[in-house]
Amino acid sequence: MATAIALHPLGRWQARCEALSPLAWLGLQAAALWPHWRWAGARLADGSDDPLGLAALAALGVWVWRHEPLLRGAPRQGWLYAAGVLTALATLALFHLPPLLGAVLAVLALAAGLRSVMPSGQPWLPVAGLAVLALPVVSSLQFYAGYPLRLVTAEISTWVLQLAGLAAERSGTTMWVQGRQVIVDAPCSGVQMVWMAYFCACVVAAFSGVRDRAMLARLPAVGGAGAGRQRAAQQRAGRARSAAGAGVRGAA
Amino acid sequence: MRRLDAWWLTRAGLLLGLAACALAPLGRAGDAASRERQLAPEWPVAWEGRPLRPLALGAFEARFAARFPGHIARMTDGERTLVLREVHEPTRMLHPAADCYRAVGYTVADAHLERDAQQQLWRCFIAEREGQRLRVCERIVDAAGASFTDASSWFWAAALGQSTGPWRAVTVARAL
Repeated sequence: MATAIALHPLGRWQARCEALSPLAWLGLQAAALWPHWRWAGARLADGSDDPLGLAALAALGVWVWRHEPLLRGAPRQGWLYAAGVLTALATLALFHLPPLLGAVLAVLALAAGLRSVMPSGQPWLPVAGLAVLALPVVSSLQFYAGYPLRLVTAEISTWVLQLAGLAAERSGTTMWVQGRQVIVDAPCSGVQMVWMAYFCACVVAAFSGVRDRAMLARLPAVGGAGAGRQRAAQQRAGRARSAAGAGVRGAA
Repeated sequence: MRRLDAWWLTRAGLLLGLAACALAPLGRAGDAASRERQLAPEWPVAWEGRPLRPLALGAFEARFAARFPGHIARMTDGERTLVLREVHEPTRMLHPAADCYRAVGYTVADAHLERDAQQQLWRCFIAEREGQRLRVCERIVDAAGASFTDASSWFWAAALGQSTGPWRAVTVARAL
């Protein structure tokens, strides 16, 4: 069989472009976003954040490896343009936004790039979720969301205690239970538990093929369940400490 | 020569765009802190009745201080090491002390709240590295004397105007 060989340089470039596999395109896109990965790596290496993201990164790697043979040679143009725009925005974010926000844009850009070559009928939301969860977000979530989550924890715990017939009042993140002070401390915010709940939901959805719409409908319940488990554990710990008669209580 | 279709031009444009994105960050200026320099605060000269003497910042602390939007001082009373950090606005850079200790290789355990002899609330934990154990306690105090035992509650109180600055984070470490 005769093979057409391009002799013009432009033709040769066109042939090279067409020969690139979908994974190679994603690799090039990832390479273009290198400052974000360098930042994430440095944050991971300095130990100031829990390395939970590595589990999400591993799950994402396994998913891509398993689905690589099914990736489309001809990308969906809409998603490809979205990936290009998000890549440009992530690059601009390097100059104007905090590193974490820039990195979120970068992983969303890659997720959009992946969506453009994903086979039809495959869920995309859990894959994008795993990409975001792979970033070192726990420490920042603790910093920004820790206090608001503890307020919610204290309020719900106060209601539960009142329903159980105990004299309980909330003041900020402190509860007064039958004259004794119980402080809802930082570990009680449930940030790690919520991260774990979303991670498990994304892994299960990605590998079992749950439709995006179905996952979207269940997402709020996932967060609530994670925080609920955390609160239940803390209340059990609180009861144990009450029995021990500690003065100031902050679950650790 | 092959006919150049629109799809190939799109791909070529995308390649050029990716190359531009990869090279753009190289043109960035260094991470020089562009912050308004406040006057250096007056640091305490004694702690719980014992005189304090200043210590030089370690290599890690000096690197962190270069980007810190406030002032940092390291002192000792001969037995304990104090790290004082002062800021004039709510900032993510006022990390919990546990994050700083983890960042220099310590494992952090046994985090709990406790009251001192003056009934002030502190967040304390044990930091351990290569057999060296430290008991570390921290709190953040605002201009009115109100205190916070964690960075998140301080940040929201400061950001919502419920606490007035300058704020001083006090971290006390003692070898066990």
